[in-house]
Amino acid sequence: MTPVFGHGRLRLYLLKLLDEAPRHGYEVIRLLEERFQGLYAPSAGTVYPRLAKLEQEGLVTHSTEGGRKVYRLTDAGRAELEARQGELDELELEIRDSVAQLAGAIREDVRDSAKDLREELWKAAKQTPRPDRAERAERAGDPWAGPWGDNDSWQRAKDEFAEFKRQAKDQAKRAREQEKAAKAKAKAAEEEARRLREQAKASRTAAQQEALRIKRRVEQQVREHAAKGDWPTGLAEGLAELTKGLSGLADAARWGHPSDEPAPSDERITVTRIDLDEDEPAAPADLPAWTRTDPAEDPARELERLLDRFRDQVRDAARDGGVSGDKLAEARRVLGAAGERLKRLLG
Amino acid sequence: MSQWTVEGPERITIDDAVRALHVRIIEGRVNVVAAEGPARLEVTELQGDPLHVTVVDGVLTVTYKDINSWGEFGDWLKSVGSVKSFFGSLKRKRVAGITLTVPADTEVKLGTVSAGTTVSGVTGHVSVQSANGDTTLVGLTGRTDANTVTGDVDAQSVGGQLRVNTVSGQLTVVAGTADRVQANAVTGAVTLDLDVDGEADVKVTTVSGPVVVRIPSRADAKVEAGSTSGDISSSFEQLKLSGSWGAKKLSGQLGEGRGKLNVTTVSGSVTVLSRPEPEDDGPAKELPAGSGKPDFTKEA
Repeated sequence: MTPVFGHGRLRLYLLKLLDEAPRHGYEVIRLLEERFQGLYAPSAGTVYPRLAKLEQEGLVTHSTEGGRKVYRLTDAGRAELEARQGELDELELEIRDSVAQLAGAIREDVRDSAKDLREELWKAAKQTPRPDRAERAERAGDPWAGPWGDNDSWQRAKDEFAEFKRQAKDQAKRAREQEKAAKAKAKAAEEEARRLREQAKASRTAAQQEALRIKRRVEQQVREHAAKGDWPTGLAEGLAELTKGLSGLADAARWGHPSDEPAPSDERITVTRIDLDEDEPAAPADLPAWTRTDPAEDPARELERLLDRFRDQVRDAARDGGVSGDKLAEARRVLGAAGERLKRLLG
Repeated sequence: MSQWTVEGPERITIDDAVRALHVRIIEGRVNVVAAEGPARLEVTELQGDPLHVTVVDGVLTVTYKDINSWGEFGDWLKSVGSVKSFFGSLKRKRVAGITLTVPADTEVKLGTVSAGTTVSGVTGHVSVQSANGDTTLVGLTGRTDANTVTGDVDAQSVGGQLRVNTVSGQLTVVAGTADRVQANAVTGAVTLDLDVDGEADVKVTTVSGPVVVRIPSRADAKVEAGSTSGDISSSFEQLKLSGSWGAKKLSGQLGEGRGKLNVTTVSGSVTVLSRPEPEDDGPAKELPAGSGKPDFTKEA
C-alpha cells in the first residue's frame, strides 16, 4: 500500500480530527477508515499510542465520559495545527488524490472480480448437465455455441427437424386414411339404408298383395256361399278366413326379413308363435277361447276337459242354429277327419 | 447557488449541502465515492472545453455549458442534428477525468457517451446512462438503474433494487444482494451471482445473450427459464426441462417458492447454477456481502 501518511502526518491528521470535535479513540479510527474508503484502516494499536504521545506532548487532553476516554485539543495543539496548516493542506490534497486512486482501484478490483466470476460461472455452466438430456451432456450448457453454433448442433437440429417433418407427414397420412375409411363407412351406411328402404317397400308391396289375395279369396268364398244360399255360413267362414289371413299378415316375423326366412306358411306362423310364448301360451288368434288349455295341469286331464268343452260348444251351436241334414253330413265329415287326425297324433 | 468553471486539473471542496449529483460528460472517467464530510470534486484530467460546475438547491451538477439539461442531453443523443454535433464534438475532443466524493445518501445521476463510470458506497438512487462507457457499481444499497449501449456493467455487492438495460454490453453481478434484479440485454451476456437470503425477484430478458444465474442452493423461488432456440442447463435437480423441439423451458420450485426467477431469451443459452455453501467458497473471489468495501490488500 502506498503510505498515505508519511512521517508525522498521521499525528497531524489526528490533531485535525480532534480540532473538528472532541472524540474518543474508536471514533477516530472509524473516521480515518471512512475518510479513506478503507484504503487506510489504522488499527487501535497504532492510534491509541499516538494519542497517548500527543497527550504527553500536551497537545491533547482527555476526560472520561461513560467509561471511555474522550480526547480534545488543547490550546497548544491548536497552535501546532495552525503552524502546520500548509502541510495539512498538502496532506488533504493527497487524500483527495487517493480518492481518485481509490476509485480506480475499486474499478480494477471489481473488473477483476467480474472477470473471474464470469470465467468461473461459464466454466461451471459448461459442466452442468442438462436436465433429462443425457445424450447431450457433453455439450450441455455451452453458452457461446448457440443452437446453430457448429456442425454438430446444426446436424442435430436438422435431424430433429427431419424427424419432426416425418412425424407430421405420418400424422397427415394417418388422418387422410382415417378420412377415407370414414367416407367408405358413410357410403356403406347409405347403401344399407337404401337396401332397408327397398326391403321395407317390398314388404309393404308383398303385404298389400297378400292382403288383396286374402280379400279376393274371402270374397270368392263369400260369393260361393251366397250363391248356394248359405250366406251366414259363408259370412262366418269368410270372416274367420279373413281374421286368419290378416293375423298372419300382422306377424312381423313373416315380413321383416324375407331373405332370411323360408317362404311364409300358416303352419310356420303357428309354430313361431308357440315358440315365442313362454309361461302361458296365449291362444292363437285363430283359435276360439274355449280351446285354451292350462300347461301346468296334467295333459291327459286337460285333453278330457278340452273334449268336454268341445262337446258343449258344438251342442250349443247346434241348439242355437238348428241341425239340418246337410249340416250333419258336414259335421260328420269334420268330426271324422278330426278324430282320425287326433288318433294319429295321440296314438 | 455556487458556480465554478474548471479549465484544468483542479480540486474543489463544495461547502453547500449536496443531496443530488448530476454529471454529464462525453469522454473520460467519472468516479463517485461516498464519504463523510463535504462533497468534493477533483478534476484530474481535462481536454477540450471547460467544465461547468453548479450547486442549485442541493443539486451539484458537473457538465459542459452546452449540455445543460437532461432533455437536451437526450436530444443530443437522439436527434439527427445530434449526430452532426456528435461528430463536431469528436473533432474538439472533450475528455474529463472527474472524481466526486459525496455523502452516502446522495441521489446520483450520471450520463456519458464513452466515459467509464464508477459509483461506490452510495445508498441513494443511482442512475447511470452511457453509450459505450463501462459502468462499475460497488456497494450500492438503494435503487440502481444502469442503461448502456455497448458498455459493460459490473456490479459488486449491490443490494436494494438493480435494473440494467444494455444492448451489447455484458452485465456481471458479483455477490449481488439485491432483492429485485431486472436485466434486459440484446446480445450482451448476463452473468448474475446472487447471494440473497430472503425472497428475491429476478427477471432477465435477452435476445441472443447467454445467461448464467447463480443463486444460493437454499434459494426460495419459483423458477421459470425459457429459451426459444438456446440450450438450457441447471444444477438444481428440482428444476425440470420441458419442450423438445424448438422452445425449451426450465421450471420448478425451490424452497417454498416465495421469490421469483424468470429468464427469457430467444436464442441465448440459459444456465441456472447453485451457489456453493459459504464454507466451501474457495475459488470465487468474493467479498463479504453488503460490506461495499473492496479488498485493497493487493494494492501494494
